[in-house]
Amino acid sequence: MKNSIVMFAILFGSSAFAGDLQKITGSESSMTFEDLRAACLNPSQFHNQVAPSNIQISCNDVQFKWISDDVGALSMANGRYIKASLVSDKYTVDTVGATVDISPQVVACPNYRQVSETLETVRSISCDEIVAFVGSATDFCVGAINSMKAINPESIVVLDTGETLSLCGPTPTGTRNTFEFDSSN
Amino acid sequence: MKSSNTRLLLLLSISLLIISCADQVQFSPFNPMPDLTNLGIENAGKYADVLRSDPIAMEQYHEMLSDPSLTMITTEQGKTIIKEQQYPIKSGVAIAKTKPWSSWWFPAKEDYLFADSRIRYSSPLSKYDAYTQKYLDEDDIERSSNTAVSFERKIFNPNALPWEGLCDAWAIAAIASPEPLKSVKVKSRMKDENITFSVGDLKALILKTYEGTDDLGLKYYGQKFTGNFDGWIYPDLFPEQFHRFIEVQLFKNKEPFIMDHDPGPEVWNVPVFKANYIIDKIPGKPDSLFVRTWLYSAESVQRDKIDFVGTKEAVREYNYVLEGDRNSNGDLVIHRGYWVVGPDGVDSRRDHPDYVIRIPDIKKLIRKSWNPAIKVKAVDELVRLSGQ
Repeated sequence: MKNSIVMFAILFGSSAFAGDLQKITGSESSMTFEDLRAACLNPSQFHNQVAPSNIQISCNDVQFKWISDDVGALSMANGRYIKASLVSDKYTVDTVGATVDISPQVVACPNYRQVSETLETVRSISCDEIVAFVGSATDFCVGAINSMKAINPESIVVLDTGETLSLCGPTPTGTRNTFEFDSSN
Repeated sequence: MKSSNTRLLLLLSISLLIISCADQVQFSPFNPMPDLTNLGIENAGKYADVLRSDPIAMEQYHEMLSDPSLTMITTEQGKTIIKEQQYPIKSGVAIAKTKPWSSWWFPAKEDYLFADSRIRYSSPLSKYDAYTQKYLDEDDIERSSNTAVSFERKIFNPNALPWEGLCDAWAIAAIASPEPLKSVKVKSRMKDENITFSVGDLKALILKTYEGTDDLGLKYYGQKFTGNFDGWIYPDLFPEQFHRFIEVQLFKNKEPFIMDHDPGPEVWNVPVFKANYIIDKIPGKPDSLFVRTWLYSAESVQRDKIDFVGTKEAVREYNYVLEGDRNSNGDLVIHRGYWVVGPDGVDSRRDHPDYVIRIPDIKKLIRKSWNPAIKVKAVDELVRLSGQ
């Protein structure tokens, strides 16, 4: 199972941009990436004479993954049954049978633990780049995050979430370890 | 038929070889050297990093380029020497001994610090006043001229610049002070009533005790860009200074530092605590190297996460070329560098640190709030009571 969340926030500030729209996502005022693109293309539409500057895009990527943990051991019961039949020229003794103890079979089984892989990168982006970019802010961030991870995997912060998953399960109960006496030999 | 198959196979092998070679082609950064005729003072500032490799330009702009803050790191620490070895050179990740913590940065145009918008004693400073003022009755806190709230209200400017706030104080505090991890309930000194300081309140107060930190306890590297003749060089911090600083501060000393990540007039300080880099050759330029450096800092959190505990980490990438001369061992002694646009489009010409700050001795920092009612001792006592 793998979940991935990519979030973005864009910040910009400029004395020429009146300071009223400093934050695109957040508690003050909200704009979409498309709004910002429009503001870059046509500042007057947003009551400004010049295009926004000093724009930063913050891309946050969180992925949850399961990774192999210590290999577990699953004990599976085995069965053993011994039958004895005695025959002589005078007598025939009924066949007798009995279960005999046998060690269970221990097999390896996988355990997993969940980790979160987080990467947040902050990039400066110009109006020209925003206008030229085809796609959404999330698309931009996916590209930025993927290229960062490819060249610099050390930038990923990996943390245990505390969640575990064991495929070892309980000892199988369906195993046949007793035998019906079969008198037919 | 057999011969034709062999030819096809040969052709395929050559194609694959070409493709595989193409994959390994080194990135060749663009040198942004401008046309030196009629350059003008503004462009000279904009291209100061590359101009330094031109003797005529160096002579022409000698006075402005001789600001000692531009080369202070290499003056103090010597130059970077890169030994000839197998490229690319991938550094490990250098991690500081102290991990800075995140906080809201309390923009100056917001009244969060002192406005009791919901209930009485809901802002950090009104709680602080209630806690510290021994002889005032409740209403006096609002009226009195010597409370933390009244001072803050007096200096409050709702039209402050959007980037003004306590990020500079936070960046120092996040390195120099332990993080408050829990809220604390204390008795008001005026009345026997409980006041609870949340983690966000405690961080606000800690930051206030760092806002007037004496510069004597801080060591600045790089010319602060102001856009005028006091600070006109945009590409400063120069890349060779930046690289040397990282080598010494993080890789050698394992110490965090403060960085104004905005190269323009705005100040956006963050505490940096990790770094790594990749150095590679540049085709056709034996005495130049292309470097991608990643700096990891604690980031500020949004206001709705004001009680956040821990470090919200973010990484910034910087791309630059280092130039030097070979010494007798064949190692490259770095003399200068220039910012470039990296292979993934990260434009470090536009976006690079303005300056960096080192704290030589945290114990010798002299903390101070501009607000005379806020006392370092009282704030530290509160933080101590919170269990820190």
